[in-house]
Amino acid sequence: MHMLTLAEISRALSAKEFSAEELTRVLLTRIAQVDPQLNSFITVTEAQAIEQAKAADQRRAQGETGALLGAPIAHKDLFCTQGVRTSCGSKMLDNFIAPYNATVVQKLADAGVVSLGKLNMDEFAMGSANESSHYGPVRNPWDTSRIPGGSSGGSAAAVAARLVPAATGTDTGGSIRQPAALTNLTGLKPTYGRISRWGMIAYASSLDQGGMLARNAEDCALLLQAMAGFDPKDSTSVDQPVDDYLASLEKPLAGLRIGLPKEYFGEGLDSRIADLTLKAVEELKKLGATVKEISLPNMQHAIPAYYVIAPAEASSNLSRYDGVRFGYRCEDPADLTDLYKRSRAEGFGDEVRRRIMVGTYALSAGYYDAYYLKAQRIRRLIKNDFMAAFNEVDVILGPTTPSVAWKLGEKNNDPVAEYLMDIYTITANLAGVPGLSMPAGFVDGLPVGVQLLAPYFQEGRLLNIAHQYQKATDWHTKAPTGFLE
Amino acid sequence: MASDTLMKRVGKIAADSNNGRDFGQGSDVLDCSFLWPFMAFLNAVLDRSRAVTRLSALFYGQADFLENLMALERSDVEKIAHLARLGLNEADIERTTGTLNDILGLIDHMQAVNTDHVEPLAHPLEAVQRLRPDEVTETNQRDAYQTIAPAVENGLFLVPKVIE
Repeated sequence: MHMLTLAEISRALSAKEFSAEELTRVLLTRIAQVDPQLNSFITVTEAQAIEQAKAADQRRAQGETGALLGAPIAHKDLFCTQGVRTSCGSKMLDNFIAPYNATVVQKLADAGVVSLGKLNMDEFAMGSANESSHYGPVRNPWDTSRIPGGSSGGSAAAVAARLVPAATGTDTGGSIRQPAALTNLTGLKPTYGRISRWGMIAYASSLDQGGMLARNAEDCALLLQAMAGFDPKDSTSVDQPVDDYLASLEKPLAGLRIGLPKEYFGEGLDSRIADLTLKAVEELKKLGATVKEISLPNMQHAIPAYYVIAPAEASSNLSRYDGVRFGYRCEDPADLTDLYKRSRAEGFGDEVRRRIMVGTYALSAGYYDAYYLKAQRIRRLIKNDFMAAFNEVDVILGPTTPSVAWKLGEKNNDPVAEYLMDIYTITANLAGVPGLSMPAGFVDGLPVGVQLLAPYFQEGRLLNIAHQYQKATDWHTKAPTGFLE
Repeated sequence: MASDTLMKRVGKIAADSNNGRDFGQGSDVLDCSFLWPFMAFLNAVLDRSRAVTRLSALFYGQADFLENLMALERSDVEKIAHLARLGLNEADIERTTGTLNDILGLIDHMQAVNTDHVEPLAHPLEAVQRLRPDEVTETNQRDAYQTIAPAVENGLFLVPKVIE
């Protein structure tokens, strides 16, 4: 049962092959057995899950249908879940029981989705390895001595190990696409504003976007259909109709124009990943696509600009954690300043403190123009690159990551080295365009992902291409052996 | 440099395109000149991982970087920590000073980019702040919200005495 995809589960539930409750119990048992090796869950919500599954079965018995009715998933632990701890991977929020549901959580619950729990992540979504979590690192099911990627590392590991068929994630600089690539999953970061950020704990508000990690494009489409849409509670949500993503999956690829940015294939990229990326291109050409070299000349400026914008926004967003109204408070504060300073120093981990410091400096008097405004100008150059490229091609294709999953602890003392690993994913967040990573093969037994980028609101096109590719290939069906029994 | 096989395969793909040029020929593979100083700095100072060594291979060559770096002093770090209300101890400040300088070294390479006449971009879709009618839309949930507060009394949040 645990090997089924979301779409297969949906069909089996409607054919009454098993009930949502039966499936939920099977998955909960597996999580209890397998997850100690991976540490992908922070909180397993067993009682609520069974309650939700029973409710879904009841709704179905009353004649209700719906693709996700009774389908199990789990949420990255930065989506607020009413009555359930929402830690954001931080000691700061270890005692935070969310008083409301995030819009994404509510929409999925309304669709009858059963949530099995809350998934591990880098603290406040700051990281590319899932090693900055207060709850310990997550291990990659393909090799438990390696990282699963981050910040949605728990989401990636749980889905890859078949503990749950799909999971929500968020992507500020690659945090859905990179872990999806490193664990052989399909992950989608939609257009900025496509999915509501309300109830999603903020990291960098002009870059954050919710999305999902799943076993294939079809499952991503099922989830996106339920998650996308305008939300008046999110001031940056975009009021634009939601496409029929499932219907667009079957469109033939004939005439599709793919652009390969030369900047994505330079030195620094593992040549075996380059080979696999080009093999995926060959496959898409067989399906009718044409290919052309393009250039995104400002790509190289993305990392410096990102490491101004994201920390600046984070330093502002995280100023709310002051030990007064919720979250961690230090013992015996001497005065109010001591309360603030020690609560924040003790409640935040190294990487979070580091980014708050960088952001505070960048926004401090006299530096705003040189840092934040400069970074925003570069951001426009990067957006302009994409707009120019999309005049020539329909989608852009390249590797998702420059290397396969690295060893736990390998980059612990070197934050800048870890930052450089996001080189291919960060531009999509700065420009706000949608991006998808899909499995494209293996290097030394470790998964490799290929990234597709499309113009604003063309998530349907990305899912269409990935789905057609997945009909012609079987990389996405490979599962890590130790976790299947 | 990438393998010959890769070049042939990429060349083949590029040849199929309308105005295809070969990838990665000569020196214009990837213009990351902005990173040269930074990578040289990394090479000189940091204990690098294998992946960074791979990345940095491209960026060797220029070492006149140090004069561009406006290194933060310990006192700057103390000031920033105070602005951010982060109580860093001695060891933290020492460590943080080094790491922040590494990060700022990376960031400073933005300054080499010409952004004259380029407007800053705040929202990818240029959306403006949406307004709503000034109406009460939320109900009072003070009791519910205070159940997760560190210290409350009579509906108030408690903090250490502010006025002596």
